[in-house]
Amino acid sequence: MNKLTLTNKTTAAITLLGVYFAAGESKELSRDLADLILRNYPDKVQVLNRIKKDLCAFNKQFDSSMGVFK
Amino acid sequence: MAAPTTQFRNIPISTAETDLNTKTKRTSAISGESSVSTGAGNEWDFGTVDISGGANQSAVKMLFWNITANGGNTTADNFKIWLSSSGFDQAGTTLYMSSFGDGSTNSGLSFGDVGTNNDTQEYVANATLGTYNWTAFYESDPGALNVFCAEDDNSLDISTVPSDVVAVAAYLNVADNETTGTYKGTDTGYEFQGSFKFDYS
Repeated sequence: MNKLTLTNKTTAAITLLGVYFAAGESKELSRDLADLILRNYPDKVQVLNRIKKDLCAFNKQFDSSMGVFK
Repeated sequence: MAAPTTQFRNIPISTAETDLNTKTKRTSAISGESSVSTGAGNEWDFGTVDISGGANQSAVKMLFWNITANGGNTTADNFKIWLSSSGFDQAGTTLYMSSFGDGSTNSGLSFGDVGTNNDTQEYVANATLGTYNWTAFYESDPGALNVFCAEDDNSLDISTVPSDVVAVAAYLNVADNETTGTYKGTDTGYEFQGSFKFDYS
């Protein structure tokens, strides 16, 4: 496999990432695609790492409690 | 790769500085800690506040967050924490969190192993309101990092776990004439819930 050529397939995958992330869904599938591209196109690593990172935010919630009396 | 798994813990503010001065100590079980999450019985509990004499404040509390499994990821960063749901009626009822050492904006706590602190304040056991500088919690996603990790940095190497914690001290100022009752979680009219967001790769 030629690992240095940006093919239409890669472009499509990047576009797909954008679509998935913009929709806020299928995060894991998108991240898997990013991983696949990173492995096969190391010259695009910096850009793709940024794309991947931007899309991999994780929101956790926690409850607090307090009583108020007077 | 999977998303990292994480945990929140309430850490007693009486914990000695020497019991928190390595990341191994901070990420290990700490005497008196309690798990914090969503759901009844798992709240970050600020206790009770008597406002019969006017505005009053809760005690200082401390929250630790850390990653428990990295899911194959190597970096966590861009930490953001905010009060995402609040049922308090009075504008003066405000949740405050530890800030930069100069008091300019939100940040976290560091510990004795970090040395010079640029973006955090160093933990002090048995803290009172006068111990740290404080700024109000954001009440929506701050959009950019607003809390540094205990290494006084904006990112954590999570290639090996446990890594380190993000530590936040907080207290609540309750305004005079605030509606009395118990505020917790997503209880209608008495909401009290926080959010913590991070990036990973």
